[in-house]
Amino acid sequence: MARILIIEDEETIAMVLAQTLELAGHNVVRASNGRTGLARLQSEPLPDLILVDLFMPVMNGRALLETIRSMPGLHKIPAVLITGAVPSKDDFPPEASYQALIAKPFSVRTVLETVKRLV
Amino acid sequence: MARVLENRWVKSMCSVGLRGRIVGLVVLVILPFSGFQLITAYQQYNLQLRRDLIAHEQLAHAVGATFTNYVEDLWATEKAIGTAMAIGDMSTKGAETLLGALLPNYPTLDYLFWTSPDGTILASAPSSWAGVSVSFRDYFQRIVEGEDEVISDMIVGRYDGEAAFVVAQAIRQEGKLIGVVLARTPIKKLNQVIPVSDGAVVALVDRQATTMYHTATDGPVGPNRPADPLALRALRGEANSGNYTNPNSRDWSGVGVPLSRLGWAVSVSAETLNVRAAAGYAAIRSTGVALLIIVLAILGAVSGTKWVLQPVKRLQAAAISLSEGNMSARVVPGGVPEVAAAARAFNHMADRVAELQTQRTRFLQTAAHELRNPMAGIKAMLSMINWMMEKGQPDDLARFLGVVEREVDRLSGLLNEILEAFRVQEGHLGLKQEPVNLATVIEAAVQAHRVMETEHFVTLQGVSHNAAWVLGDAERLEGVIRVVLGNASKYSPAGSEIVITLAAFETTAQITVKDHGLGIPAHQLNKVFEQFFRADNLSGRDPGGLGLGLYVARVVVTGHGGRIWAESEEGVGSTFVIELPLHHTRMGDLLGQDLDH
Repeated sequence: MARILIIEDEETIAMVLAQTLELAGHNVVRASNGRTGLARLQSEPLPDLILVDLFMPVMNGRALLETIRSMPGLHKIPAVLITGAVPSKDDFPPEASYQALIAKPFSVRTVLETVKRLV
Repeated sequence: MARVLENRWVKSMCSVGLRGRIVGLVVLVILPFSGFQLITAYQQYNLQLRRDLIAHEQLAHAVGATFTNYVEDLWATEKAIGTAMAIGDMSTKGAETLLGALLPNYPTLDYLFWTSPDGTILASAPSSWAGVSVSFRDYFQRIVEGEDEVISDMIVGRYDGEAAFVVAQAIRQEGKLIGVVLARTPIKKLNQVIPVSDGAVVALVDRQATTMYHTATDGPVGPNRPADPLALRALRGEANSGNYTNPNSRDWSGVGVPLSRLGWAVSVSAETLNVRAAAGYAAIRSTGVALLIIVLAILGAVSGTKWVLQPVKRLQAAAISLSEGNMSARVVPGGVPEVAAAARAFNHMADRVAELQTQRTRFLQTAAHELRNPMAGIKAMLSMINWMMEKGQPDDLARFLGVVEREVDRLSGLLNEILEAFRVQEGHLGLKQEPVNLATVIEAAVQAHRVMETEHFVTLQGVSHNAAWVLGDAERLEGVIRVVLGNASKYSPAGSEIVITLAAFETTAQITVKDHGLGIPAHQLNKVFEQFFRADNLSGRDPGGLGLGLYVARVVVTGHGGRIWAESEEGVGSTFVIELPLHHTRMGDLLGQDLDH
């Protein structure tokens, strides 16, 4: 039973993740881009895990992770990076800033296993 | 003719490059001239020999003339002196004065004498001479005995061994010998009288065939040495030329000329080998020039063609480099204008290729990215359903599967977009030619759009009561309107209005789609219709799509004989206009449509 923040702009994927994790017994909160995600992190109770998509408008996953890793209180929260293929290694955030990587397209079982491992 | 072209030699000649051809041409042109010169080398050799012969002749004549004049001048002087002496019945002192005054006029003379008939020197200049020269005795004897009136001869001084040239003249008064005038010239000084020769040897030979003067000795030659055959023949009065072997067994050639007034002869000759060598040099020189011209011409042709070919080779290298994938391969235009123009054209083409390459790469990246999202959604969805089914049938199964179906449609739509774009590129658009009611098409498009999204209010104007018919492909036209509609909603804020208007004119119908969105900057109004172009999205969202919609739309509209363009004001909104030619048919009348102009 953990509090999980999902930051994902693709409606279908966000919905699937939320449904699955809730059915698995977790408490799910959603944000549709990095900025709103950051706002929730700063204003609401801290989650136990963050699932964040790499490519999002306004503020992408890399920017978000780099931001929270320098903020007290937030920097310890484990994060799972979700991504499709990226054009180059430079678009990735530093390896230390995330604890797991899930590639699209993914099966929900993979997500559940990863979440189980990190919370 | 065909057989000629099949010939192996003809083929290999045709494959000869520019350099080979130009060099070949140069050689063909220059060769006759130089070849001619080479061929005539032998004639030039003979020509040179002939010239040398003529030069020798001229020299011989010059020597002869000069020497003859000298001698005759001395005779005349002596005669004048004698006459003066006889007439004036001069005293010794007077004679000496006269002689002393004359001597400086003849710098070659040693002495001028006035003697009595028996040889006693009566007066002399310079005046130190006295007594009778034993050597002259012979002359006096001959004169006294009446053998000769005038003697020109060479003597060798008994005491000093020096050779001298003597001209003696008998002086008579009323037939009676009263004295002799004598002029003495050292042979050595004769070279002042004899013109300088250039490599040739001059021999002056007296009546007795004694060589009085020879260039080699700068004086007389010994009595043991005979005169050369040319001089000998000339002594007999015969001008001649030819070859002879000298006492050293060397071959000489030259001319012999008689000095008829003196009874002497002159020969001018040169060693044959030298003569031939000189002529040979001349021939070789001109041969060398001819060869040099050929070589220079070939060198010039080779380097000239190299200058022409270098830019061509650079162009070739750049083309190969480009074809191997080096997108930055370009050429610096240079060389002849035609080649420079080709280079510029190549650069332009390379720019275009690089641009297309970039576009294609971007497109593939975008396509992969765009296609992945619906795929991910579908997989996520299905895996969730699968997982849920382990716990028993989920309640929302129908809803979930509906979402999957929508994602599949989305995917399908993207794939169609790609297919359409390729078809357009290949030119396989395959537009149908049927009567199409634009109002129906518009309504269908709006309907389909509303299924996809409902964030915008779409209003139709003039659609229901204006029946406009065109000839074409209803499905494709519907696609065009959906694309324009899709863009309008993508680039305008949620909740804003989109107005679609249908208007019919004399020969055309216009469909206008107006939104209140971001607008399009003026410089991009045409660019939006280009392949892979996706407008900058100020809201920050990924615009989605592949940038092919408007590109295909334009091709379809122009395929129908119409036009499509955009008008816009940034920050206010955009208006897309599709204009199509109307099709007036009996079918339209039959269907009872109301054609409202």
